[in-house]
Amino acid sequence: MRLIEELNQKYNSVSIIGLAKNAGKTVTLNYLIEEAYDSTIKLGLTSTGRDGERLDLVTETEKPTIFVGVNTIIATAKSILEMGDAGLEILETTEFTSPLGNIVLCRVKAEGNVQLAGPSNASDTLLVKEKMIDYGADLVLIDGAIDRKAVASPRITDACIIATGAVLSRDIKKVVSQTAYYASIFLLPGVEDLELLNIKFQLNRTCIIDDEYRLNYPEMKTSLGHGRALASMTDERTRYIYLSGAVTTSMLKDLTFGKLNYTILIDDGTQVFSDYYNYKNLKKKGLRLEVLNPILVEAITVNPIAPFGYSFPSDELVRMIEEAVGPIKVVDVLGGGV
Amino acid sequence: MSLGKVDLTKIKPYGDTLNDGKMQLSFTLPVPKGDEADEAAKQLARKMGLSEASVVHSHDLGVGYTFFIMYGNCSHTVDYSVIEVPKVDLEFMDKKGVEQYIEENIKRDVVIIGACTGSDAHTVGIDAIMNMKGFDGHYGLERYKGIEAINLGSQVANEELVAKAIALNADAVLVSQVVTQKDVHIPNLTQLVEMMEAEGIRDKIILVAGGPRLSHELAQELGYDAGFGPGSFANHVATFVVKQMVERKLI
Ligand code: B12
Repeated sequence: MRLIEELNQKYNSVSIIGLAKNAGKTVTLNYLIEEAYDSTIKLGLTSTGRDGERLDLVTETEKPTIFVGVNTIIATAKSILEMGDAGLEILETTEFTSPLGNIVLCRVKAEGNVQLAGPSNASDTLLVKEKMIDYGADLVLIDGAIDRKAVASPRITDACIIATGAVLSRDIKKVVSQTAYYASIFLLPGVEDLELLNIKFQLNRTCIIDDEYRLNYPEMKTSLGHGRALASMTDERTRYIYLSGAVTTSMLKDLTFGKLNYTILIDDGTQVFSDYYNYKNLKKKGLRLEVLNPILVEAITVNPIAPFGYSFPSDELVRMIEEAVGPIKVVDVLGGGV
Repeated sequence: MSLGKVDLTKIKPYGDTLNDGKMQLSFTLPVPKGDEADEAAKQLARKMGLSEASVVHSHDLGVGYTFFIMYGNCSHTVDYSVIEVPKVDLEFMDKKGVEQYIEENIKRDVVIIGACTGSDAHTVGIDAIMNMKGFDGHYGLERYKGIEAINLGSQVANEELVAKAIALNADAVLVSQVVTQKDVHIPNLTQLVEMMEAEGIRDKIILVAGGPRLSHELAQELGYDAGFGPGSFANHVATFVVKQMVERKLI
């Protein structure tokens, strides 16, 4: 079955997340748009960055254009509406602002190219997504900007596609290990402890949870930079530390020492800001990280070509990534093979 | 001077007659001064699309390198009529104007935190915007009545900046990035945005980036509310921040 049909059967919204700039998010988006083209699936499209402009602002290389079919719904900024040549019917000018002007929702009347620049923050993106569904979109695709991941949160989209590519490193092994690392963060296991799941909806700010599921709230506006203070509040009865915000390497280090009798609990993988090496070391020391809301990674797309003029054999890169990530579909969006 | 009618769809440099394409450029080549060096410079200029390229000055830099000044005629043209550069589209108020605007519309102190982040140690840019004495005759934010400006300095980690913004209930965060080699500024800037998202404060804060290679357009793509490049002054940023606060009802 085509990827787009699978996605459409299971989900209302899917985010496309790049592991780096030029990892091929827009190519992935176009791949899905093309798959949908001769189907009856009505797509809703937006971007948390900017898509469809001809030149990349940083590398000055050419970027793919976005060609959309009739009945697609798009959410984009007012000031760039005229920059495409698709025929658009404006459905609504929303109150959501973007630096390029208010976000407008349009229905494509005559196929053609469009530029996409939606709201740049996740909470507005969520509301825009809901509006597109209200206007009849079967499946909303949200392209994340550059390497930004926030819209992959299950709070915002039902599932995600990770776009990776040669651009990550000139060393194919590093491309694979980095991709596998980020995928593993997105795929962090959901907590299975039923008693904890019972109190899931009480968890809205950082706290320490003991073996009788009592919550102890530290007095801090944010846990960022207060890893040590949090660690000092734990004792042998501590079972979980729930973190409601960003989880950095230094936070994980502060909380990973001695005989670890607790699991670190977060909402989802988009909260983690660590790197491959530190994370690997901490895992060795016994770090346990679980999530309340697992992210569904539906596929990993691979762009075997880097914009700076090197590339890897597509088959090999796809195979190595498949081996490293397990049962997730890996697709070379340039070759088109599944 | 002879002034003809300018065709804005095909502009090229002006020397002393319209469209003569005359331009001057200077650069250094890592070779010793001599005829071969001059010839290398000329060949380079030709490859750059300059005809009648001539070396009008060259001198030895002492380490086997040569500095050149060249003239040549540019063969390329640019269509000026279709250029559109997104800018922070605002009537900038001066310091007094901003202070008055705060007093009338916000009615409390505006908290603005600034830092040069990541591995970047170039403080002059952010100091120009924030420090009391300012830059080029424009006072910095620290001097503004109604603005509490906190400059965290250089090489500030994103997590430290976010923690500080939360601790101080910041209204705006200003980030400076000067080193852009290998595009290190890009992931550093996006990481800050994502950290703010994870902390749930992104939509409550005006987030601004600045630096010599940052345009408004790029900053927006990275998830910032605005970007300020060379030639920016404190009153530009201040105008943007206070107007956004009112527009986005963040008072
Ligand atoms: C001074 C200087 C230094 C000083 C910095 C001292 C200090 N405390 O800042 C020192 C000697 C430490 C230094 C070190 C290095 N430097 Co240096 N440095 C410069 C230099 C000469 C001037 C920069 C400057 O101060 N400009 C003046 C300010 C006022 O301009 P500005 O930063 O553009 O700021 C304005 C706007 O951009 C804007 N703005 C800037 N930030 C912000 C933020 C906000 C929120 C807003 C609204 C606006 C705004 O407003 C400002 C006022 O209009 C430049 C070359 C040049 N002539 O530009 C190189 C330069 C920036 N350095 C460079 C490099 C490579 C380095 C080093 C890596 C060198 C090395 N190999 O070690 C190190 C890096 C150190 C580090 N970790 O960051 C390169 C950067 C190349 C690149 N694009 O990445 C440059 C361009 C030199 C070059 N041509 O190669 N450097």
